[in-house]
Amino acid sequence: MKTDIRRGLGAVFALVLTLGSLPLEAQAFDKLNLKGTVVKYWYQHSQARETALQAMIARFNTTNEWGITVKGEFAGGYNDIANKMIAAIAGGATPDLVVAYQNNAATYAQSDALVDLEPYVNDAKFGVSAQDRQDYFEGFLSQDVFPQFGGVRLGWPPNRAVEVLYYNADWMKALNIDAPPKTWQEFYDDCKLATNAAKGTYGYAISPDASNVFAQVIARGGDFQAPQGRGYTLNTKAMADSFTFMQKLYKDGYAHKIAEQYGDQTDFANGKVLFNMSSSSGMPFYGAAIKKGAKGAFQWSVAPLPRTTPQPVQNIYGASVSVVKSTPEKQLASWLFLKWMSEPAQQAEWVKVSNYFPVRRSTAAALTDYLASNPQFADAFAQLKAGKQKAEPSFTGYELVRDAISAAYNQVLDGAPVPATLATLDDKAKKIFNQNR
Amino acid sequence: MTKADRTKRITRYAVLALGAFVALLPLVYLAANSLKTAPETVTRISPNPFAPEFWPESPQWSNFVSVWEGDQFGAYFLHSLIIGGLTLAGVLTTSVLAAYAFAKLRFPGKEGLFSLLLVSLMVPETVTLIPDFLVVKALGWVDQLAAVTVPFMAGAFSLFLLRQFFRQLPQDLMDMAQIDGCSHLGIVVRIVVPLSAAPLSTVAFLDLTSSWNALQWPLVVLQSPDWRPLSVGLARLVSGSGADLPLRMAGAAIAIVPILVVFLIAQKQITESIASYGLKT
Amino acid sequence: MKPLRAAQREALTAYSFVLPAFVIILVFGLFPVGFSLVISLFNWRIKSGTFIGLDNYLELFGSLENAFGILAGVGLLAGAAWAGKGKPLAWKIAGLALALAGGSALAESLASMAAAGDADFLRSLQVTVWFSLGTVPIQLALGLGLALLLRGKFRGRQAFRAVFVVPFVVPAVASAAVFERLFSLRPESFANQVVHAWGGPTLAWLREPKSLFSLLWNATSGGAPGSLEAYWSTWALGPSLALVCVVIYNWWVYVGYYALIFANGLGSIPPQVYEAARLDGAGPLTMLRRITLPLLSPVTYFLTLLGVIGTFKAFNSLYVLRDPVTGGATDPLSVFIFFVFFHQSRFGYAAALSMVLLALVLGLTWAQRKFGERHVFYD
Repeated sequence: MKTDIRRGLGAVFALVLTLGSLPLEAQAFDKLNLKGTVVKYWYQHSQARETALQAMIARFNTTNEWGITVKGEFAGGYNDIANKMIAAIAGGATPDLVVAYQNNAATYAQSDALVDLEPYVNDAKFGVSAQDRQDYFEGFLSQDVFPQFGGVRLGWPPNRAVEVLYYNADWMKALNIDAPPKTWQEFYDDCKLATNAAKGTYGYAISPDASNVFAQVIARGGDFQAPQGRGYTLNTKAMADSFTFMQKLYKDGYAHKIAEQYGDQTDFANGKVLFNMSSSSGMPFYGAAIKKGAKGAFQWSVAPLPRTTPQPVQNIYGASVSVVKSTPEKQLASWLFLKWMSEPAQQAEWVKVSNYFPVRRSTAAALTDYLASNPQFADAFAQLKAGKQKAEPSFTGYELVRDAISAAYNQVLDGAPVPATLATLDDKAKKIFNQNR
Repeated sequence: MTKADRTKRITRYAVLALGAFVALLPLVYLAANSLKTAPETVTRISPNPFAPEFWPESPQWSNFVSVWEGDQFGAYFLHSLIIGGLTLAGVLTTSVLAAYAFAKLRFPGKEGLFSLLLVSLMVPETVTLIPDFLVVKALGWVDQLAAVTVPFMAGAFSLFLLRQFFRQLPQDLMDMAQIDGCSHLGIVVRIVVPLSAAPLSTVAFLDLTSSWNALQWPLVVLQSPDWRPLSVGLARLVSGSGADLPLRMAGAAIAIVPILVVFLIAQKQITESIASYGLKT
Repeated sequence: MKPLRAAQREALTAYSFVLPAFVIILVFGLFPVGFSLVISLFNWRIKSGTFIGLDNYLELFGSLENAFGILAGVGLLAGAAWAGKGKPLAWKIAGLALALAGGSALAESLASMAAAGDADFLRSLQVTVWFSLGTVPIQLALGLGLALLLRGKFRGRQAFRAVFVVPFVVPAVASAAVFERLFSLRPESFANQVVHAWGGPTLAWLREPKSLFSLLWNATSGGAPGSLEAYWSTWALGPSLALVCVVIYNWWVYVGYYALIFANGLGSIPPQVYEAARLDGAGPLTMLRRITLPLLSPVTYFLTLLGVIGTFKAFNSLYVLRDPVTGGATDPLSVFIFFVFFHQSRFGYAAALSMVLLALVLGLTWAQRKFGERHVFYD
């Protein structure tokens, strides 16, 4: 009799334990009725990319099995969207899906406005299966996990881009350079060869953008931040080396500052400069500009930046899309749309129009034609698969640090001493970090 | 005419011509660049508008077509017109009535109230942006026409200008009208307004200019293209045109042309009215 | 019910006439001030925050002593102005003493604030002051000059008047885009070609953070951190070249508008006055000094007031023409505060800064009224 009771209790115990360890969310998500749910999506794409995105959204609306409707809206450039989002959070008029760079997402999260996507990703029914998870570029996914908020996942990537070295292949051949520079010394020498004051040509168009500085720093094995989200580290050897190198290149006349926004692309397309460093998402624009350029079309491609690391370490960037807190139905619907957008079929379609990188490796299978007809993209994609990726800091207030980095870079180019400039920059970054925790 | 007068005349024209050249040069630059091809903006340049390199080899009118077709500029233009018109109607109504009251009527707290309203002129935009958005949200006006019109349907500056002018209208006119049994509203409509063509045109000019160019507020408060004004459309173009300078310039030209045309048609009236409303306090 | 008396009826009509304008201005123009005042007392992050009292202001000023020092300095200077006005000599001497005390308190506190408080705020205050000094006087002078040239009737007068106002009519986004190209750092840019023609070097214009005076005659700043010299010597550097470009842009936009308003003022001076002066043998310069300027003083005063308030609130052109490469050298107070709001989302702190800016504008207006009314000549 006692044994029976004990066995009975044991069974009950086991049952309770099993039930208790089931993810509660699975049951919660299951119970939601999504029919007729409408979610609003703020994006930054315009013109051709917007047209394609709207077509994809329309397709989702008609084909999805849950009756979800997504309404996509152009909400301005990244800065405009960030401003609008802050106003929207203050006023309680938020969208359900919003494109956000990681540091913007951090700002929104400080007001508790965003949903942690981890439970959705891991959900048995609605999440990403273990097998599919392998297909993603893990480096892309880990960018959206925030240690400073306890490891929550605040966004999901629809696409990514990397910082690459654009080079004029025809010109390189004419200068007897057989391959894009792999080391910084090679880069220096190549720029020198390309510079001809009489003809007005030069080697490199200096982009004062903080993302470019980051790309240089990680190519030398460094980083902008200390691990575990503990703050900025801007006074490092890698940073000092980067600044010193560019200071010399500029002083010796082999590199020029960019005169206006996209001035580097303009000069490149017109055959005035041999190298640019910029985002891979600009490739279609470069292609179009080169066709219309002063020298007519020429062979060009992209390569990883010169480096001291054995393998290229690339700056991946690209905003993710965050889900804003609202009703459980809208949140789930938003997640399902994001998941759909990252499926290979949609990714292939999006890649063809936007020229961003897909977030899943298997997308390549659906892109064979595209890769064949866009050799530059194929090159860049191959490099992506082979290399390591790092991402810029995601702290609130990073925008201000970016501005400070650009200003410091400019001062150094104008001759300011590198150690003192970096020390001041590092102090400033620390101050900004502390003010915004 | 004496020789001295002649020299004075010539000097005057010369200086004015120089001034006009400076005033118009950036716009001429805009026009020239909007008609160039992209590489021409780098390879074919000159600071001198009289040199051939300043101008395109052959004008690329297609730039304008691209810009116009790339977005719904026709709709944006219409929106800007509607928003401008409604706001103007509102400002004129509220300012005329209030200015009349401050200028001609007696009531307790008049001076204090007026000074309070003037304080609103000193408040920087950064201070008003978020709180105004909160109000608009609370009223349910987000994305509605009301959000971009109502907040601007009154302004302390127009109030100030009109009050100045009304003050110096002869009191006898109003006294006679009152004796005839006219209400204050009647006085405003039948006497004051007809006499105020000058300051009203000034207010209209300043108000239309500022609402045509307003960018920040519509960006924050309008979320869909339903009421998107031309200024936001231009900003979209700028962020989407990237390196294509001619497209950008063409877009800017499209934003400028309507207000320029209106101004040129009405300029005689406008400049005379600005130059004729009294600033004597 | 007793019929309302005439005065009451009039008051009621007046209130109803004023009501629409009042409600709109109250809600959209004045409520934000109260709102900002309240949240400046909180550590407000977009939607909510903890109450921290005057901590935001303390962070701005650096310390309680600095805040008191600045308030005391301003108060003493105001007292000095009051004491010096139209009172016997003894008061004037006392006024002088007050001015010295106030001035030194202010000088010390600002220098200390630069070290312990928000140095970026002080820097943007400098930018604002240079911007104001660079735009208002020139716009007044050139505007008056143009207006004098546009006097009388002559062929093409209306055309010229219209042309000069065109820059004001054109949307800032469009004209600023053009100026960005005119003042770009390329050697072939318009500005550089002009400078080359005069034998000068290629300049970076809108992207040049170095200050004008350091470029012209190697002015430097220095001093131990926190010392009087450290802060006050930065004034000797002058505005950055980038800011000078923005100032030039503003001249282009506003001179014609100022000219138009001056033209009105000129038009209201009866020609007989000039005739009489000419008969007395007065030359053109004397007539300018003794007749034109005094009779124009209400207009000048009005435009100066408008101009100074406008420059302290100025946002558009400085926002559109800025480049991060200049490190904030073209960021006046309003742009600086905007970034605190939106790039840091520290609403409480940004609100505190806005309150200080508002106080500055109010103070300037009050000071101008007190000082200006003595010099304005009304007939």
